[in-house]
Amino acid sequence: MRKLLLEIALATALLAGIAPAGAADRLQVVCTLTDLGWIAEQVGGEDVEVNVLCPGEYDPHFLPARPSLARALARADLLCYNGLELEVGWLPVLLDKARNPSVRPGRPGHLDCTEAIAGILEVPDQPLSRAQGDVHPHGNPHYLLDPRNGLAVARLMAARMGALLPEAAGRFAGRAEALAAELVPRIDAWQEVAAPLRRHPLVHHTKQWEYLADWLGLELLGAVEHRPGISPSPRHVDDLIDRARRAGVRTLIAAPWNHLDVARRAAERMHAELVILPAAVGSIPEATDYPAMFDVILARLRATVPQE
Amino acid sequence: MYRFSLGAARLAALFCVLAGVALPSLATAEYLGATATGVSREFNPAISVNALLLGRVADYVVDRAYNGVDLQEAEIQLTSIVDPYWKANLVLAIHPGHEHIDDDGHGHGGYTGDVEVAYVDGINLPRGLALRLGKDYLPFGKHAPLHTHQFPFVDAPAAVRTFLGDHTLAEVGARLGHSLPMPWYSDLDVYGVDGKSAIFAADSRNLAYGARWTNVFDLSAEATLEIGGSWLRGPLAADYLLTEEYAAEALAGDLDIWGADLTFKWISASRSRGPALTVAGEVILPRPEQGAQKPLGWYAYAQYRFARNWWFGLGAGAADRDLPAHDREQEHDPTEDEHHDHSALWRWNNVREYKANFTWTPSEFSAVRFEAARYDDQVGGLDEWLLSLQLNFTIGSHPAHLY
Repeated sequence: MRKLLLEIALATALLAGIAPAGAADRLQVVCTLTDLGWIAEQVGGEDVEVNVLCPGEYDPHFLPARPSLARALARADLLCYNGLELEVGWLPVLLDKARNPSVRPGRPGHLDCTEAIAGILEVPDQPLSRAQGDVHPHGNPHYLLDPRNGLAVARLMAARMGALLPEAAGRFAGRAEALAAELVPRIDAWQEVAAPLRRHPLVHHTKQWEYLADWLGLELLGAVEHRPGISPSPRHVDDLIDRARRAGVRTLIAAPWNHLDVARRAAERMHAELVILPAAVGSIPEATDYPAMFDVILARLRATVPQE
Repeated sequence: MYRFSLGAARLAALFCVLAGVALPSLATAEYLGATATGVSREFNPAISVNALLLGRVADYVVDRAYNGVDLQEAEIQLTSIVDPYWKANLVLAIHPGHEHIDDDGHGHGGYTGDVEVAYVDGINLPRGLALRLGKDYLPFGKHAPLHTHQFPFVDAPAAVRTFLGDHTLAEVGARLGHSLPMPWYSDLDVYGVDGKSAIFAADSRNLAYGARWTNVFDLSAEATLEIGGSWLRGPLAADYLLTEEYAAEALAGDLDIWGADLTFKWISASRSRGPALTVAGEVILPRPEQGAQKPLGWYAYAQYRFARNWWFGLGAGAADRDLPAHDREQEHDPTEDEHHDHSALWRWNNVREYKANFTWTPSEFSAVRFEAARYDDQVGGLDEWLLSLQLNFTIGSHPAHLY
């Protein structure tokens, strides 16, 4: 019985080893985030097949690295990830499990989308320590909450997809420019919608909205969870509430996966409204795609200030 | 072979040296002059240290060596890419030596060190193959491959400690893995190793070998079910089953150990570090090639994250050596066994265990655990209550843990 089991196991392993890898006609693209997945679909069109590792409703800092996710990576020709250590808790584990040299660091199939970002925010200029919480040592990673960065990433993806599938390079570049032509007017429109918001400071639950604020010219007074990944101290919350009241803060913004009970209590005490904003495509049902996510964000923020 | 001993002063000195290596503030200036000086930290490995401090009260003598406060273990881990072909991992572990226990039950002997892990992984292999060369925990079951700071309870289950050793299934050899073409995640690992663990005959020149088959099914985006099977074969240690019969016959035979494990995991997507549940169980069946003894070990536990920073755990298990009748009649005091130390096999005969703990995790890098455990030996009539308070902290760049 023992020998039989061993023979079956070895035969299965051998067959798996010599089986053809399954040549795909389309470029197999794996994106870590739903935002990146949407951009890859727009740029790649029918020339690519896109898989996304982190569903929109998950906080990308804490995605459980289910082994099944490594199966998609094992077949990938191109891995597109956010970088700046946003996915550090799970992507290295999946890359090791996937055993796909094509998407390992240094290969053309390995794309850190941070390469497209010209102005990374909050790059530390002081020595870091974990006393500051689970900080990102190379800067704030949430740059996709500025749609201009999404466009830059689209062009970067087009170039890399073109390098991997030269016969479709022209189509990738054309789709990236078509996406820009569609998004640029909408970016202008979103900025107009945001204009009245600039006079109203916001409080945010976690440090995640800096790129959105930077793009729209919003003022972020402070974060309830000021040390990422660490429960806020009562003294800090009291101090923030005091400052928020004095500044006339009307709105506390949070992502759907934040600990909303804490955010809700803080909002009540500062006499502000808690507004849940989609922090990723698919993080709430209305955020069906990347532009729709900004539609929802702007609509919800605009609803917090009186009409002029 | 790999062990070394450290006094407290040497231990402190070692930490200081490693901390100095990791100091980034000194590095910048040296980058500039590396061409001329040849001194650069640019390619230093990621360095992390995990330490476990343990305070413990036991009402029986079995764990008297730990009655008090001590460093349960410290692990120093170094990880780096070697070249385009290999990724390397090295773990040095330091734990109490307990070379001598005085009349009051206190351990003396400083600390001993061990190279727990030293391996390279092939990172450029074709066809999805995985190759690991060096020293690592054998992939037998779910618990034996864990590092101490990953344990769901303060101590390993009695079944693991009795039949696999607390920390002994770290072996030098080669492991080959491949994902099988199934609709679910299915992974097969086969390995051959030198066989120096406590379960193997120390003077045998035969290799040990085995396999593990891991299958993980996605029940939803939030839940998985893992079913695993393990098998290990090697030369049987003379004292493995504590019977005169086997002590005489062991060198002539091999030992097979079979294992099966089941793990259900659910992690809510609704919140960062939100509700999560793990329910797991494992059965271990050692089968000596000669004789009719049929030992059985098992454990099961559940862990639930009921608040952002809080876990609750419940566990139970058993380890039955299935001793022959004449051996059962002789009461055996586990503390008299020369192998009663951190890394060797446990010497209880037929033990039941029950555990419960609360763990507070204020961040990903520290945890405080309070645990109550009860052990009953069905043969020797021995029993023990253990209360433990454990502090677990990690500094440096520690690699993410497996799912």
